[in-house]
Amino acid sequence: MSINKRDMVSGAFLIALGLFFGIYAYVDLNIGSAFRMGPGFFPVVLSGLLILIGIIVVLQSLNAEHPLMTPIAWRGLFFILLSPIVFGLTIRALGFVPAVVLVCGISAFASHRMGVLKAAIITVCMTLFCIGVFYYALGLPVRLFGGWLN
Amino acid sequence: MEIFDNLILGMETALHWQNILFCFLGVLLGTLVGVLPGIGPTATIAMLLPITFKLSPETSLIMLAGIYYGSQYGGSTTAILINLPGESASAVTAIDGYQMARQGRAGPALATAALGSFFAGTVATFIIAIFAPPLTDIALQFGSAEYFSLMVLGLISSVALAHGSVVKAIGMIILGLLLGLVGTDIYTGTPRFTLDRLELADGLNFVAVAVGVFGIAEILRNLEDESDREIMVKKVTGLWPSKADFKAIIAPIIRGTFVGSALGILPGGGAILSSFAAYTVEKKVSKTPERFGKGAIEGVAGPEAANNAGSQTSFIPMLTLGIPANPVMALMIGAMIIQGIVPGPEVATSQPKLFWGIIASMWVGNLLLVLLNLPLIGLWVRLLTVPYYVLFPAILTFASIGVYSVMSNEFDLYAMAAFGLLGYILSKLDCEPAPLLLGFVIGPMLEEHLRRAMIISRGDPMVFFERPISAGLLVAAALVLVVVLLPSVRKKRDEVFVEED
Repeated sequence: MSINKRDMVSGAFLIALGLFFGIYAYVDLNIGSAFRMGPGFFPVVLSGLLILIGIIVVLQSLNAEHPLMTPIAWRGLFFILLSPIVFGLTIRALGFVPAVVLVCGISAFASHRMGVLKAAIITVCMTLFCIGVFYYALGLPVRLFGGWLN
Repeated sequence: MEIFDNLILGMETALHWQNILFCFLGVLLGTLVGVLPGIGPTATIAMLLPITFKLSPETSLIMLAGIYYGSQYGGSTTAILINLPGESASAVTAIDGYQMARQGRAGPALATAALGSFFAGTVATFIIAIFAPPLTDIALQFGSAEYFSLMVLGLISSVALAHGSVVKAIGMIILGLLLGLVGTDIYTGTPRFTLDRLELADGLNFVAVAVGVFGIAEILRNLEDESDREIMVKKVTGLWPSKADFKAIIAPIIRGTFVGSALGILPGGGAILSSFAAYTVEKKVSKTPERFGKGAIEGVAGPEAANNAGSQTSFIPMLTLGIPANPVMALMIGAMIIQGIVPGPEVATSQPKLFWGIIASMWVGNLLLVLLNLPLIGLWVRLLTVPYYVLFPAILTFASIGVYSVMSNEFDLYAMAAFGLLGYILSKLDCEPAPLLLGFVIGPMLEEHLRRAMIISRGDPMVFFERPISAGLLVAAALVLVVVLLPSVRKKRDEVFVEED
């Protein structure tokens, strides 16, 4: 019997999420009754439905073909997810300009085809563009160089 | 006639210099985004939402709308020239359009797409003007039970008319609803799912969610395989279609316009479904169906008209009922809420300038697009040669700045990264992100109406079936679900969507 592993994982994922939301709501919130619905009522109902859907998906995955899977972009994942986090950490501490330089510079390396020189050029152009458009033209309330660098 | 009064009011608003400027910016950006692969109108609109705070409501919505239907034009250009649809709705155009390009007929194909879209856009504007007011009148009689049932119907239909597994899509809707509930409960003030973090007390930032799930996930997908695209056509000459071409495309354009307008109104409808349906219609109606797939100009004209009509008429449920038919409309509703406008049937009467201004501006936008696209084809072609790895740092930078600028809260950036990861996981698991966003936006409204209906009925759940309109809507939802799950219909759906590959 062939199993569609991807769908089996999807179903398990949905069940897990349903359990997370459901148990969280049940423990944390007042459910109430149908007449006086507490804050937990709708979440618990939805979580139950989600678990049910997850079970259906798992059942459907049994005796089904496993589809072709495309590779996972590990390098991309690392750099792309890192860059906004770095932006968030540095926007107040270091200011707008360093944050933009970092987010552009870091995300540039997500591609295999990026070189240091190209990344530098793109970052410089991007930073100048953003300063012009966001700080001067649109008046975004940020400090160009903030916190530690002042 | 009242329609003309309203359209004149709309034109006054649309032709205000500020609105023309931002309409132009919107359609230009839309075309750009449609041409460039790896970024779509949903992520772009999400990123630009914070910028619209500074603008008046009419101007912001006009610009954001321009991005949406502008992207349909841009997507057709790449579909025809390099067989890579910049927009999923243009996937059908690529089938015959690319073949025409290979036969040296890229010019007529592009012109057909532009002209067909313009005609469809004009007609669709009138259709919206005619149908919106009566729909609004009906909607004003809706109570909470009706709203609840209508939203359920909308959510179920959006799943039925979408790609892939219906069951998983329903799961995505429910997940979206749950994520939408994160925050503070309005009735009791209790925090829900906030993990004791203050930043989550107002709920998840929906720009962060939208940009993460749509924008970042898309970039990650594109990074899986970084091979080059072949660009078949470097220079495009002979833009104008021949007399024979003109004769051939008139009927498909008219048919496509009506198919698109009808399907666009349905929840879950819009550009994608319309273009697929129009292609099928043209193939069935044609006396020489063998030509399809080998460069039949009708295969470009019909779908192009349909996708433009569909993208415009999908504004109708949003403008009249406050219900989003697709993720882009969900973002428009978000834009309205940010501007302090409560979406729903009252918008037509309390904000007529906004209502009719948007409708009229769609025609203005279509005109700008024809003027933009035909002469500037060369520019767009050259843009396609920009390598992708230059684009996505820019996209990420704009996304980060955009998300941060909503509340000046760094937490939103971490949320965006987290939802980017979630979006990528979901795409690997073949779960659709669009129903998730729809559920996210509708979640709080759905619960509010459910609870209010139950309070009014004193805890009697039968109220949804006792009131006739509500009962009818729920029965319709059940029917849609049953029809879509029937094995015979399932096979048909798979057929239609396999063609996209």
